[in-house]
Amino acid sequence: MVTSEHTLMEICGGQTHTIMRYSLQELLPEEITLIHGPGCPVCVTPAENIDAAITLAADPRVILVSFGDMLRVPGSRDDLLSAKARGGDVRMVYSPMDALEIARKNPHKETIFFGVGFETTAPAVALTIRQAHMRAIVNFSVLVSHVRVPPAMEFLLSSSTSRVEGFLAAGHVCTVMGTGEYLPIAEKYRVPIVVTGFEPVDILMGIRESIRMLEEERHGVVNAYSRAVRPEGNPAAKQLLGEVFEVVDCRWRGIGWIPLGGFMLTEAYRDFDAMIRFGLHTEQSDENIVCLAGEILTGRMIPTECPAFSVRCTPEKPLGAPMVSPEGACAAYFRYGRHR
Amino acid sequence: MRMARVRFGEAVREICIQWVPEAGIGDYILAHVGTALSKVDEEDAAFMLEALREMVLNRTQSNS
Amino acid sequence: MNDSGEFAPQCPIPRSEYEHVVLAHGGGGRLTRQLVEKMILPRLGNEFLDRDHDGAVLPPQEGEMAMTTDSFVVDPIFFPGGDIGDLALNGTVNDLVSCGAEPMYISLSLILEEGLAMEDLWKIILSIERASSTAGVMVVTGDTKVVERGKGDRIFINTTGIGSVVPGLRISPRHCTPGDVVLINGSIGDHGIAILSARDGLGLEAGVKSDTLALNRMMSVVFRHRKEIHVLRDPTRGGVAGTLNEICLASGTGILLDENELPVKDGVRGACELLGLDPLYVANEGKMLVILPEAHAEEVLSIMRDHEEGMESRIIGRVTEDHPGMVRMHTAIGTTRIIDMISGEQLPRIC
Repeated sequence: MVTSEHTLMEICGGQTHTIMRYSLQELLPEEITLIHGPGCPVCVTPAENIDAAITLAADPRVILVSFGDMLRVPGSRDDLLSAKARGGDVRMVYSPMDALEIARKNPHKETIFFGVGFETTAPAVALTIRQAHMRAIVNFSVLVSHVRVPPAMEFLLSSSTSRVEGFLAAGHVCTVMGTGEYLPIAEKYRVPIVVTGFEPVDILMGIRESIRMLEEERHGVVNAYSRAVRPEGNPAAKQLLGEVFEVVDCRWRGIGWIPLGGFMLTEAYRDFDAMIRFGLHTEQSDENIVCLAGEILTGRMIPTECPAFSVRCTPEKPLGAPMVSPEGACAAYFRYGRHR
Repeated sequence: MRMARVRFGEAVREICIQWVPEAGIGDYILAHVGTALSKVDEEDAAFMLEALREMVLNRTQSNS
Repeated sequence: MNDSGEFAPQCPIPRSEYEHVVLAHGGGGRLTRQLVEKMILPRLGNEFLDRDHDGAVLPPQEGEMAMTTDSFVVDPIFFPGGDIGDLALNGTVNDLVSCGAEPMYISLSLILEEGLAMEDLWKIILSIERASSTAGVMVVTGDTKVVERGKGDRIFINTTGIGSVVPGLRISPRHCTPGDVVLINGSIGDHGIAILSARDGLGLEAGVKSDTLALNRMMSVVFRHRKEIHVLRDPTRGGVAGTLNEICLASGTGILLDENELPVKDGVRGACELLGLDPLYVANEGKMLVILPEAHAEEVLSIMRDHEEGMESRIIGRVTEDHPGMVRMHTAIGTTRIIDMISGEQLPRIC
C-alpha cells in the first residue's frame, strides 16, 4: 500500500527502545524510514544542569537523589556516578516521592531531587513538591530540568532541512497532556501526528496510520493509543502541573534554545528550587565538538553516519549523552543495530 | 494522597492513584515513576494482545 | 533455602562476651582463637580444619586438578533466598563444575568489619555449613581478618576451591561448535532481582528469591553419562548475555537464542520492566549454561530434569557459524536482534 518513500519520526525514548529491541524496521517496507527524535529526556538535559547536580552532590550537607538513568550521563567533565565515587551522597530512586521519604528520614541534611523528564514525569515531581509544601518539609528541594515535547516538535518542523513528514507522538506524555497541543502543529505544518503507544504492535499501528494518512495526503492528529489516552488527557495531573510549574524558554542539549521548551517553578513554589537555595548559576558549558548529538537528536543524521560512532564513541567511553543514556539513539544503535 | 499496591507482572509496588479516581481493585492502570496516569481500557488492551499474537503467528508461518 | 534473617532454633549462637566483632578478633591472638574455636570449628570442622595448621595438607589425587577463586562483596549480605555465605560456597563450587571438576576442598577467608554483629556472623557460618554439606565439600583452611569500622562493608568473603577433573571431559569455550545446542537449567535473572528488591529505596516487592544453589550433584550425574560436553559456564555477573558473548568471542562461533524459550519468572519480568532492565543481563547464582552436540541434548536434559535444581531445564539456543563472535536472538515477534555485550556495571555489588 506504500506508493512512495516516507520519513517518520518518533519522539520518545521508550518507543526508540522498542523499535530497536524488536528490530521493527525489519518488518517495514524499504520505502519507510524511521528517524529517532529527541525523545530521551536524559539526552537533552543541558550539561550545565548535570554539572550543577555534581557540584551539589559534592556538598557534604547534601543528599543528591536521581533517577537511575541520569547517573552515568556526562556533564561537561564527568558524571554523578563519579561524584559518588569521590564521596558524594548520590542515591537512585524509582519515584520522586521516594526522595521526599529520604528527606524526611534525614532531617540534618538537604535532600535535592534531580528532576529530569517530559510531561509524563513532571506531574509526579509537582506532586512531590506540593506534598513537601503541605507537610512543611523544609530540607527538600528540586533541581528542575523538565522539558516539553510540542515546542521541540515545532522547532524540528520549522527547520528548513527537516526530512520529517509525520510524527509518532509519545503516548505516555499524551496520557497527561491529552492530544490538544498537537492540533495547531498538525494544522500549521500539514503533517500527520499519530499518538502511539510502546508495545511493538502499538508502534506498528502508529506507523501504519501515519503512512495511510500520508498516502492519502491527509494531515491532523489521530489517537492510536486510545486504551490509555483520552483527548483531554488527565485533568487532575495537568492542573497540578500548572499550579507548580510554568512554561519557560530553555536549552536542549545538542539542539539549542527551544522557545517555551521547558518548565520552571511558579512563584508560589520557587522556594523549592535548589539552584536558588544554593545560589548557583548555570553557565553554558562547551560541549565536546566531536559529538554530533544535535544532528542525531534532530534526525538529520543516523548514529551510524557519525564518524565517531563505535570508533571513538562507545558506551564505555561516550562522547555525548545519546550514547550513555539507555534510551539514546546512539546507544540503541550500538546495542542493537551497529552490525546491520 | 490515595495510594494503591499495583502489580507489574508479579512484582508489586505502591503507586499514587489519586489522578485516576475511577480505578478500582482489579483494574489496569498506566503508571510512571510512582504515579498512575490513566486507566487502561481492558477491552482495547485485549484487542492489542490478540493482534500481537496474530502478528507473531503470521510471522512464524511465513518464516517456516 | 533459608530466608534471610532466620537461623534454626537448634543452633543458638555460642555464648560470648562480645556481641559485635572487635579489632582484636582479627589480631591473631586469644580472641581470634576464641572466634575460630567457638564459632567456626564447631560448624565447619573436619579432619583438615581441626588439625590446626596454617594450611591444609591434602591427600594425593589421580588425574588433573582444577582450582578457582572468587571474592564476595554482595550488598546487602542477607537477601531473599540466602546470604553472602551461601553465595561464597555455591559460587566457588559452581565455578569448579564449570571446569568439569568434582569440587572437593574449599578455603574460606573472612574480612570482617569492626562492629559486625556476632549474630550475623553466626548466621553466615551456618549458611556456609549448610551449603557445604549439601554440596558435599569440605572447608579445609581459612583466615579471619578484621578491619576498622568504616573500612569494610560488614563482611567480605573469599573462597578458593579445588576439585578433581572428571576424566574424559574436555571443557573449554573454544570447543563450542556450530551445530551444538545451548541448555540452561532454569529461570534467568532471579538472583539480581532478589538483591535489588532487598535494597532500600526501590520499594519493590518482587517475591523473587535468589537462586543460589550448588549444581555439582546434578552435573556429576550428567558427567557420568556424557563426556561430550563442550562448554560449561555459570552466568553470574553480566547474565546469560554477557556469558554467551564471552563464549562466542573465545570460540569464533555465533549463537542464536530463541526468546520464546527463555525461562523468566513473572516476578523477574515485572521487576525488570519496572526498572528498565533486561533479564538476559541480570546475574544468576544457581544456573549453568551447558553447550553440547545436539545429538546428546535430550539425554542430558532428562538427567537434569530429574533433579530439583534442573526441573525447568531446556534448550534456549543453538551455536551457528553465521555471525561469528556474536550472539543474536529470534524475538518473540519473529524478528532478529543482536544481544550485545553490555558495558559497565548495570547493578553494582550483586555478588
